[in-house]
Amino acid sequence: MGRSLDVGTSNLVTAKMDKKDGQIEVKKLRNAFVEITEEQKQRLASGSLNAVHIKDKAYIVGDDAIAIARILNTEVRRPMASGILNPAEKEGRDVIAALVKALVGEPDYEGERCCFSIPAIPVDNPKANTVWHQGFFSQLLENFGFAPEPVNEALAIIYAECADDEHSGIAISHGGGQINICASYKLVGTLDFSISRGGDWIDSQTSSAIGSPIAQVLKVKEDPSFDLLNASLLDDEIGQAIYYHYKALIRYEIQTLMREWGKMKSQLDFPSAIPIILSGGTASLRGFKELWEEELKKFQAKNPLPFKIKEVRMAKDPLGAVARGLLTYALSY
Amino acid sequence: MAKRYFIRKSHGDLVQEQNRLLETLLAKQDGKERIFIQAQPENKDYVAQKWEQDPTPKTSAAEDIDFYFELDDIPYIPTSPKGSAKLQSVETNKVSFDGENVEKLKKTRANKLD
Repeated sequence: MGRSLDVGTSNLVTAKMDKKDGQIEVKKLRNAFVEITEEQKQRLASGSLNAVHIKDKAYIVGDDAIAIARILNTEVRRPMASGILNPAEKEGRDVIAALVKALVGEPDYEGERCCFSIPAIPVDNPKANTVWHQGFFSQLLENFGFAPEPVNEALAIIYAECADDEHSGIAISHGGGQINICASYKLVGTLDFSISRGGDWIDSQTSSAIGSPIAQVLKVKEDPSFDLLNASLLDDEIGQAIYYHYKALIRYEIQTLMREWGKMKSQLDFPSAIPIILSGGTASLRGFKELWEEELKKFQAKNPLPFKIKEVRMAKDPLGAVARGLLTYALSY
Repeated sequence: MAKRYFIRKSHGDLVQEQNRLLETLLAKQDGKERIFIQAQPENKDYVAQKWEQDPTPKTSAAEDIDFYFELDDIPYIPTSPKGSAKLQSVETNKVSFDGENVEKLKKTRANKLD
């Protein structure tokens, strides 16, 4: 058997096979926390909230952390930033370690394989590296009794979504801290890289541009009825600003993909049309796929594409696709 | 495939510890993995000094592996969480398992190796 853990800047997602019904159980938790005092703990009736206790400190975690931060008028804290462990958040490491243990659970047997996601090196921040991040989660899972195996985040989407295309295609994982891209030709040739922009970039840029707090931006962006193709419906100013920053992000992503592809041309030459899979929490908004296709068409009008596109499609369950792909990989051995 | 180990501050004799890790690894693996050992900054001088005195892992299979000794700025990794999580509600979904996906992945990988 096997397990999987998608370690995302915004969300932790795990997947495992449920032996009773043979289905895959996917668990998701927002990767955020806020510390509360003993007095606040009593006042908030925190017993009903998701929490982590470390010695004499208490932290509210997950979506509850966002809600409590709003009530307490404080900033939510993040164990991760830009796709890797947040160097400025030392307490966050203990919080995320406790969350991983609770979400992944105990192994069924010593040495059960647990595949976890790692980001690629960002092309626009070559100084960043994943050494410490990968080492931390490898060691942590090993200490829980698993045999950890790091797998590139976007490649995991190829495993989950491109089986019918002989694992050929371009997978794009839109996370909170980064965008991870992988192009695969039957797993023989692959190109993978990341971009240091994601959902957090949209939030902060939108917030700065219109002078509204990030919490206000998130309130609009995360409203289930928010639609990028009708962005001013919920809030004229914030909605429009989110829309324009999404467009800018997608444009940057497509330009970077084509540039990186150009560098690899000799090694990666697709003989037939390939699918492009869009995934990740940042891509989960209504109208995202249509906006992405629109920007691709604009790019294509001025620049010939180096490959033929079979289709652009959303991953089934964009937030769980990486965890499902990691589990597929874990079970294939 | 690289395997990465971390030397912690609590370890008394660091050289002894790295040899123990190597022996454990060699007993479990085929001895061809690349091994990285990293130490905390406060241990850097001590490890470097010890390593200079005794750089050879005490194992006959040592020549079969590439040995990398890295002294990066690596903070402490907890051996187990210091705290515990009490998760009252976690979004949980069930999705059908497509066993064919696993078989197709095995097939693509086998073709790749051919």
